[in-house]
Amino acid sequence: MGRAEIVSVHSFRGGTGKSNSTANLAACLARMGKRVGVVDTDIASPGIHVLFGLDLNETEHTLVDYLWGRCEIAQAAYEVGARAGIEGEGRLYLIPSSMRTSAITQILREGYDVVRLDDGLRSLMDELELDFLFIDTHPGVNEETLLSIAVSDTLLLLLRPDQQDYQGTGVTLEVARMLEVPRIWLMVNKAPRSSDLSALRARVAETYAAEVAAVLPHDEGMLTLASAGVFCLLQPEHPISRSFDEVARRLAKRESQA
Amino acid sequence: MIRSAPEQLAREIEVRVRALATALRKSGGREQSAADLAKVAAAASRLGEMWQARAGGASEALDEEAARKARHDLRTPVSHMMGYLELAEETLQEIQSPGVEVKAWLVEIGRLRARVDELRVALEAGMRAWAHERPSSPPASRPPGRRGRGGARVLAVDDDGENRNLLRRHLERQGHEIETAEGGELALRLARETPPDLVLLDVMMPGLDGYETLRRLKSDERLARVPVIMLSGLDHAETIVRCLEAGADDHIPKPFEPAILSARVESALERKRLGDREREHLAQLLAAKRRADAFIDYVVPMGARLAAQTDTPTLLREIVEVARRFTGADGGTLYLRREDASLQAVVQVVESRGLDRSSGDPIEDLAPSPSAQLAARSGRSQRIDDTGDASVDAPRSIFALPLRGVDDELRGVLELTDARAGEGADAATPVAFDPARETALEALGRLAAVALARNAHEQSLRRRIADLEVQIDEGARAREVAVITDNDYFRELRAKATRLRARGRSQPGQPSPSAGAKTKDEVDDGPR
Ligand SMILES: Nc1ncnc2c1ncn2[C@@H]1O[C@H](COP(=O)(O)OP(=O)(O)OP(=O)(O)O)[C@@H](O)[C@H]1O
Ligand SMILES: [Mg+2]
Repeated sequence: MGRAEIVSVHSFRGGTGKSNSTANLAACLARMGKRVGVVDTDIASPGIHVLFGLDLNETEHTLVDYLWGRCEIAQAAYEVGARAGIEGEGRLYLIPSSMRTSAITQILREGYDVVRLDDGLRSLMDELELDFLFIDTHPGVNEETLLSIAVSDTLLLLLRPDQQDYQGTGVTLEVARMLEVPRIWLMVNKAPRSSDLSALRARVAETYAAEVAAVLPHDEGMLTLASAGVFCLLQPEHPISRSFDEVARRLAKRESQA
Repeated sequence: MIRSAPEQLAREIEVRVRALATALRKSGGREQSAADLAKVAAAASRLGEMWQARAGGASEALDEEAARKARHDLRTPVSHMMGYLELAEETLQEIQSPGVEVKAWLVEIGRLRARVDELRVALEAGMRAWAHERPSSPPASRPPGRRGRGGARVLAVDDDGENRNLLRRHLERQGHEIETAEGGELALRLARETPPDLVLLDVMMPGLDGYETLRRLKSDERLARVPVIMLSGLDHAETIVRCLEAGADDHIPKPFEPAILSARVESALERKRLGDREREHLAQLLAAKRRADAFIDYVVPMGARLAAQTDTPTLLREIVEVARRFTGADGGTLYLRREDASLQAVVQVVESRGLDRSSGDPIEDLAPSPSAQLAARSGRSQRIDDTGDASVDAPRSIFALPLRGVDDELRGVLELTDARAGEGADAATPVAFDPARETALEALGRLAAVALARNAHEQSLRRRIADLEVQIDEGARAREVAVITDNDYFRELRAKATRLRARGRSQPGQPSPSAGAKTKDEVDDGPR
């Protein structure tokens, strides 16, 4: 078995759809029979567990407990695929971050050893025999996000089509290139309904000289779902779900070649 | 040329033929001819009945198919009559050295043939008249004077009861509807109640006489065009001239010849029908001209004005104002069609209530009216002349116009309320929307929809251009990148990033060393 493919999902600003995209891509891959892990490294404002319907009151350990050395990383991994309706070989593990305010403030104040985070990721990949490990990140650039970018095989940079995101994405992209991330994909989300998606895609690809994995339109259904579920599992035929599927297939293809 | 009514002719022929047949039988040995003549009589009798039945129901217009069948049915007995008469004639002509009796019979047969021919002509003339009858439209909706032959309303005025009776019987025979009056006063009252198609008016009457009644009829605007035929026993040129000068259409001397009466009545009615048709035509022409004027004077310039308006809020407001001015409407509400096909009010102006909401923003508290929704759903204009709702804020008359552009796609609905006459003291009283302006209004709606579609398209283009404009401030980016990368943490990270990534790869399947990994020197397999 080869090493898992690490996919970091990042954006310069918040609210671009990182958590939703992470959950959807992870679910798509698990549905294809892959063993997938998702780590919520957005310690300051964790949220991806909501998408998978995981109640943190019922969980004993989280990523924060691991970072403090209170448990092994695998103890903080929860299988969330079965309850979401994923059948067959595929597995979907979530390593949530703590929702407890005291824990969050303490770890943000004291910081943690980013190397331990890196080590945790490695052991997760091995112990759970993962094919993919997704890292849902905190927006912006700080030490943890830089680390997650640095260790990624694939960086998925999300942006909305507006000037602020365009500018910020330029910064992150250059940083990621300096870190020699092997594969950097841009993904435009929340494009206005009226816009010509393929023209937008071409324009973004040209401006950044980077590959654009997908351009997703702003969608009322996605918005009203309000992260209460994984969109592509609920509406598999929706154009947005198909786009996620398409990106997942391309990730899988790459992984099987490696 | 004046003809006897067909059924009278038929009756005459029947009687005479029967008499002739009886004579033939009496003289003995003429059975064949007598039998032929009996068939002529039977055909005449059948024809008489058919014609009467036809005339009795003449107020019901025939459609093309029924008229053709009726013509055929009537022609058949006539040809039978002719055929059998000829047979009888030929049989009698074969007699060697005919006596006086036989010669007299042949003369009579010759006369009868002439009568049958006359009957044929009368029938054809009568049947031709059917062609003028308008098929199908229900009698109630037919304007007065447009009734078919035999279906007219005639008012007969005579102080003599016997005369009134005669007139009634004759005209009813022709299939008309008769009302009678014994004097001018009653005649005028009846005529004003329901204007007749024709008045038969006796000249000499106690009280209001024929001249005065005629004068009053002709000076009443609603009755001036009703034809009047004067009846008078004084067959003086002077009387006739006086009547005609006073506006009478014709004159019939008394005692009247039934044939003359019906001929004059029919020709007066026919003239009136023609006159009515002419006027109707003229009215149509005038309406068409008004419509054309509305187009040239209003729709075209206003359409151009809307087309030139590129500011959307102003355009929305102008659509309402232009239509309000055109119809004199008190209120105007513009709804735009949402993506889910529902209607969203964006402009509302009600002059009488001092209401003016036209910022171009959605008016959330204004639900679309039933008329607007119906217009949207059906794609057709909805006109309500009187809602019957007398409450203060409720409109009395409504015109809801769907706005559809060249692609026929619904853009919205414009609802106008309470058209006003616009002049004098009644200026504020709502009236119905002018149906003659409907076409022009619909054209205006189309132009408005085109302008709306054009603006929407332009807006989406502008938005698209903005979306596509990816501008990056290179200086700012370089500075931000420097802040992130110009430090030891980053330099260290960069130095080991490749190794970090490659670590698992060179040891497939091996547990990852959790400590010391970063110090482990590994072969950099480079970016993939
Ligand atoms: N394509 C879309 N159309 C409409 N709404 C979307 C779309 N994608 C995401 N959203 C909505 O945007 C909001 C933010 O999404 P999400 O939480 O995935 O973003 P994020 O980048 O993880 O945010 P944060 O930076 O706060 O972690 C959510 O309410 C989500 O439902
Ligand atoms: Mg998130």
